[in-house]
Amino acid sequence: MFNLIKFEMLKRKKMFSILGVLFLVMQAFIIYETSITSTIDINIMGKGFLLIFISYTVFIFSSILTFSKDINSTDRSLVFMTPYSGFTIISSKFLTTIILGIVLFLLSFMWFTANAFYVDPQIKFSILAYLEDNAYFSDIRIFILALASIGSFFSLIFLSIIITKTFLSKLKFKTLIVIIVMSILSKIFNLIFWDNLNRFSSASIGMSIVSIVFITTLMLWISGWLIDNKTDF
Amino acid sequence: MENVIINNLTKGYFKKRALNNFSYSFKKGMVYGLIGPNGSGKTTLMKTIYGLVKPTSGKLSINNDKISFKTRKNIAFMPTEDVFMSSLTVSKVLNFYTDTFEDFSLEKAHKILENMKLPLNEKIETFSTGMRMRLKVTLCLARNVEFYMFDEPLNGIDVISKDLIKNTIISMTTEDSTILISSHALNEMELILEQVLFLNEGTLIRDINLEELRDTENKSLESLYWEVYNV
Repeated sequence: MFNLIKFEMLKRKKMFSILGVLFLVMQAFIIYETSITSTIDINIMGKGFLLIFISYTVFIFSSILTFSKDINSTDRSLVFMTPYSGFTIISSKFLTTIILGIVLFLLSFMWFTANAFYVDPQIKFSILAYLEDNAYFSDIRIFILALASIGSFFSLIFLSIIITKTFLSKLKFKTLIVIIVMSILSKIFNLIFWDNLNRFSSASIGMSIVSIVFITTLMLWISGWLIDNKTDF
Repeated sequence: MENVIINNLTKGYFKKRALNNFSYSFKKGMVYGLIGPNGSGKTTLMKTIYGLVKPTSGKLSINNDKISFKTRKNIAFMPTEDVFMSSLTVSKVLNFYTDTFEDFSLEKAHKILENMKLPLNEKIETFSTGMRMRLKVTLCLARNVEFYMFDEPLNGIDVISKDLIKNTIISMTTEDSTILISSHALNEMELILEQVLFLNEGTLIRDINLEELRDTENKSLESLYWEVYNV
């Protein structure tokens, strides 16, 4: 699976290059702004936060678009011609998205923190106090829960795209159909799993994470099964 | 000895049938031609053998293994479309094939690339149609498998590329492997092919041994095509 992930990463090189240039431009802007004013401009960090928000939005849309193109265009179907199972192929695409999402989060977090120190050195002390307080421990769990939720969101979209390609490929307005399929799937999963799992997961964050990972894996498995047995490329 | 066996294969797309009760057994060491007008089911048949298109009914197997993603280890397929990302260089595509297919021989690929006069470190997006076709043939032939399939390898390319592709396919033919080629270039294919399958609307209408045809009837493949399809 490692070579499939490597190959998927190559596809995203262009998007990461564009984001890299955007961050460099923003960095130059921050350095320029802070060098000409003596007072601290908190708005600069607000602009930095906006850039991070934009880059996440670009990342999410580009990941969905790449997946949709891979599934629907014959000239991008190289991975579907390999002797790997549909589950392995779909998991490699999913893991690439998650890995790149984490990398983007960590890089933008480090970039934001470093600039926050640079603009206002006092921030350093509040961060140190936060680390000593051990409060970050529960925040890490919330971060993992958020990551698992984003993962299940991606797997739901992937499954909807594959169902549309497999059973509804002759219809027009594919994006609209994908959204309808996604809403129906989301309702079905809620009916089957969510109400039951909520009883367990309300007990702890850990249980919630396990439940979401389970549903995500199930959606990926169904996608893989469809690719192996029903989808024509 | 037979390797790929197809029994009553049918593939339907809504009301249309791309393949209709197709049955055939491909023998080892033979070069087969798949001939027919556009929409006769040639590409669907090849894609079904490779497991890319799923049959509506019927059975397909290679060495008694049911066709699935696993049997792609025994089959090499060159599709009509360019399936690789054009922003990659040839060497990157070769690396991907080396990592993905256990039977892919990098040494053999380099040798064929040299014969095909293709550069290793250039991006595929700079290639002409003929060069892309030559690369696809190279990637397919550099694998060591029992069953090779080429979908329209001579389509829309210049005379030199046609010659290079034809000669490379001939030089790579062995007694252990089966080759299936679909093509509209009847005159060019005539010297390569041994057995020709004529398809029409998803049905096998004629199965002819070219050597026997030459000996008994002294006909060319093209004249046979006109006869079979009553044009």
